[in-house]
Amino acid sequence: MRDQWSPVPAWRRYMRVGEAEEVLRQIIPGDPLRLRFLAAARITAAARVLDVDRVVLRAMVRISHGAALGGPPASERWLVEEMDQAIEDTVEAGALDLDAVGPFLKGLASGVGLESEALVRCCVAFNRRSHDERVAFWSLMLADEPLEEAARGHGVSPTELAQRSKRVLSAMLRAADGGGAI
Amino acid sequence: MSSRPKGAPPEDAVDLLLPSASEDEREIARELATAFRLAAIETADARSPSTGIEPGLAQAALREHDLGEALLGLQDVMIHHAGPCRGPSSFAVLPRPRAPYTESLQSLLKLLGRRSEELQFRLPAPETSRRAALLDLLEVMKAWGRHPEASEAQAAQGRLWEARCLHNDGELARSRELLEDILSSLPGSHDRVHRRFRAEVLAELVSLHMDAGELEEAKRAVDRGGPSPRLPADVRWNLDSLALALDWLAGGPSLPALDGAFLRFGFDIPGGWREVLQRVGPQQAATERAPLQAGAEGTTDGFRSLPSRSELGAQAVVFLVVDDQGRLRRGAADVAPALEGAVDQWVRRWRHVDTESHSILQAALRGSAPEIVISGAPGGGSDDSLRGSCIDAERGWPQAVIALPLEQGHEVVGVLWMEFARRMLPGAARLQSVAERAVGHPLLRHRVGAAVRLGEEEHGPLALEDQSVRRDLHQLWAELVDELALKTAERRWVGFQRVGSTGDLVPVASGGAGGGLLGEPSSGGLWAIRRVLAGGGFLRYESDQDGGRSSMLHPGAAAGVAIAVPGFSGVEAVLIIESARGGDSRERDAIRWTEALERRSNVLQCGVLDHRDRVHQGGGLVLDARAPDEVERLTRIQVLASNRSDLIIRGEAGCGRRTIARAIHHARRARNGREELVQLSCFGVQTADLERAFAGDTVETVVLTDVDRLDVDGQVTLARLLDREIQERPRLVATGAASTARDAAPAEGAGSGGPTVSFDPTRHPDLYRNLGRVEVLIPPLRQVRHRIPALARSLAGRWERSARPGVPMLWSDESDGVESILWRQPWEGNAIELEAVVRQALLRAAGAAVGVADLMAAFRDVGLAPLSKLSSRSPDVRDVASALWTTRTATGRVNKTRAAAYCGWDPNTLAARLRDMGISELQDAERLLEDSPS
Repeated sequence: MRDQWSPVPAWRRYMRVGEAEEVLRQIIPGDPLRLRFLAAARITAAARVLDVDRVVLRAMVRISHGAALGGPPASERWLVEEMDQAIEDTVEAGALDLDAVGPFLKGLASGVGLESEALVRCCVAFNRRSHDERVAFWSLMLADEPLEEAARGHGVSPTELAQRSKRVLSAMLRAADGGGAI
Repeated sequence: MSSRPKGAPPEDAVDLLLPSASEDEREIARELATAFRLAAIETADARSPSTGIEPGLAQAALREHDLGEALLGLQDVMIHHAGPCRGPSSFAVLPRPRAPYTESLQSLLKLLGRRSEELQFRLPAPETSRRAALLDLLEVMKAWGRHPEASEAQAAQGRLWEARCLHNDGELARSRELLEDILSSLPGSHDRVHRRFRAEVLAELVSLHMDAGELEEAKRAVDRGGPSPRLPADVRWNLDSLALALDWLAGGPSLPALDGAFLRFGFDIPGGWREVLQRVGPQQAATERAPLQAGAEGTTDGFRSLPSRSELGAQAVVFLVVDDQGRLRRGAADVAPALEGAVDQWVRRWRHVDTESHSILQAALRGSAPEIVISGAPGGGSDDSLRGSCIDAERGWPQAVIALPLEQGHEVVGVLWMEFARRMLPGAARLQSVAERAVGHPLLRHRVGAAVRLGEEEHGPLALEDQSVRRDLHQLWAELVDELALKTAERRWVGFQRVGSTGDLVPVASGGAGGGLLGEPSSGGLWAIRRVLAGGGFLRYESDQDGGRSSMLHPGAAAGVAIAVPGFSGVEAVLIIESARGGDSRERDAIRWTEALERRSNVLQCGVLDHRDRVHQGGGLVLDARAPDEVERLTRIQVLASNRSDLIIRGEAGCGRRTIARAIHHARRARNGREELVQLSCFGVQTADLERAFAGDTVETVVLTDVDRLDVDGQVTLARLLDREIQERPRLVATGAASTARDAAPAEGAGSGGPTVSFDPTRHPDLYRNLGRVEVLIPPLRQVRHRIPALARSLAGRWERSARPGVPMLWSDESDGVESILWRQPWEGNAIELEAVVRQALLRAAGAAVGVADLMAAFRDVGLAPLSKLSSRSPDVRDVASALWTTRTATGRVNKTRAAAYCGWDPNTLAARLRDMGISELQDAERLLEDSPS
């Protein structure tokens, strides 16, 4: 498995087929653009908690639409931008509709003994926080970095990092309790 | 290293963050953290290419996405048309359009049209009135609201637009009623999307009350939106901005930052508020534009005529000036509606000239040389520069940018900023012409000239172009003299030509091996030239004629012949041949030479027109004297030049309308001191500009491009100006889009009747009827394919000479393969597309000769899909003739194998088609091409 994302060498030919439906039909089987890999990397970079498949679906739709309208893109950077936008679209959709977060989190909820709706609300609350807060929470709670080290890594004081993480955790707890996350 | 198993809760962190929480809360927090941790691990592991995407689900999502984009596109167009419909003093708030307003919008809207018959529509034509267009678009929006697939929010959006249209039409009561109705039907949901839409409706209601002068009602409408912000930094949407503005009217302190608050959330500050701001006090008066900017906007003396976006293929053309305090200010601009709202913010971003900044704009200001940055160009970093510098990077940065500094002395006084959605840039020579037209003000024209010339005196594009003109002239004469088969050992020759518009002959080329005996040319011998100028033909002279040796051009010469080279309107050039021996030139030799030069005078004519254009920095005219239809084309240009009447040149964009206009100007003889050519674009042209252009005593020709875009005031002024006798004013050569009536059978030439134009209240009937009396139609490139190889070579040469000075570039060493690909393309964008592809191929080749692979990559870069072959089922007979002529052998025979390769066919297919068409020899092809649209 490659460490860095890159689509297959002749990836532009998948974009040259004209209609958006046709582009979509080309890029689904085998994922020649390696969008799943890209989605995973960009979701982690953005410190989001999302269903990867749902993001990939949105990205494929956006890419098909864009390629049909504007022709094949000149560089891979465009694919990355579309992926980032697809992540934001998924976050936005998740704020509207509980179903939009997908079965992934619901399945996860049963595994840890939480109500799936509560976990979904927490997820929406988490994704709604600012990037700085999410990254702080991610470092401390998910990546399990020691406080001092994480603070140094983010260039803030340990107190500030802890406060940011606490704000996220508090918002998630409120959401788990049924408070206004949605 | 953690000893916990994968996904175990980070207990320490939970305790750290929630020290005072209950045990239950901590337990929930741990469970949440575990779930999120697992989710993160799952995400990080999800790199396998096998996706769980069901094609059916994806297709459904695509349809939904297409629909959403199409509706947003529709709304973009509505905003574009609604903006000008608002009164200048209206408080009505409109969002900024979402995406660049380009041809892709039409494709986007087709997606909507597939849903239902009612939803099929085209973008309004440019001449359609804004209000009529808006009402048409509203009908589409309402039709969608009735569609079974439409959501409630989309239907409500349609009703909001209906209320906006009623507001525009002054039907305030009905608009208010409709807005109240929308508000009452909105669901009580508190999600952000609904709240945003509710704020939009309330903002419309507030502006409606403000337009009606009901301040109290407006405040009440604001209150219905919930708590209002106290500071501009707290503004969430347009309603908040309005709340602050109303607060300021009641004595609050927040107005100075109001415009920033509006812009931050994607809205322009409404005209009504702008008017209020201008009356605020002295601090607002300080923002009045500097005198220089007033000049740039055409409010002081001087021409102002920016090139339009469509003319350049750009998405934004913005003229910026540096004011007296050293800050950048916005001048005239033609910007895609989607970018319009971002321009002011962008100008504010770069307002202060920063010597450290790496932005393209600041680099142009610092370096005072044109900055040309192309996405993906060799060198790297261009994409970052584009993203960091462009008007609105959030909407996708452009493919290319040109920042052209405007200078006075050593001081940069402004910048012409151009953004391109595609990589089709105007060439350097064209850039110069564009800049001159953009800032026609005499002072600024000087500054632009200085800016472009700076640092280029020795090696820059202009110096190279000048050298190239001289070299080409010399080569042309050398070829002609070669055909005369002179014995040059004791002879020298000098070619004189009318390269300037004044009619004076100047020596442009010389040669011959007799230099040692004859010496360098002197100022003598000009009497012979004058005589042949008057009488034509040739004149033999000896050293004892007319005062001895002074009669010779070369001091050591004993005999000479002056031969007149006829042009379309008299002698255009003179060739002097002098010899060291007396009585050297025999009578029959002189007759033979004269006849040979007469036969090739059309070559010289083509060269003369090309050189005149290049000397005047027009970019050059690509005329190929060997083409079967070129003599006819030249003759027509000359006829149009000598019949001094107003005319209009029509054709598709990029097919060479302005080039022909300039050729007509260059082909005429200067008279009565009139020799200047003034080029104006109808975009942004002021009536005062037109009057000044026609008032000039030295102006011979006014070229007015895109005359169909002239506004009503401009049309009235132009019609009045043209009422004067043509002898007393400059001649008008207008250009316009191809008229539909002639599209079916285009033909270039002068005619006595214009096309039938249906009545249009926005078009001045006399003006367009009179202009249409002499109408020239330029065929698109795909109808004259035999011109493509020469045009491509010329464009490549122009780029090599001027666009990248100092960087050696070569045109193809696989010329047949490269030119055959270029030859068979449809070139919808005509020479503009061809130029973009050629240029990109040269860039790709990076100094090496362009190969087929470079060319194919260049096609992809500019977003074109190259055709691999022409249709062989029912080919155009002229395409076949063109292929045969283009690939002819040096001995004048057809080469069917090469011609078939040009068409992308098997040779047997070509042979069969030739039989069908009755073409067997090159002469047949030439006859067909002589009847070409040109």
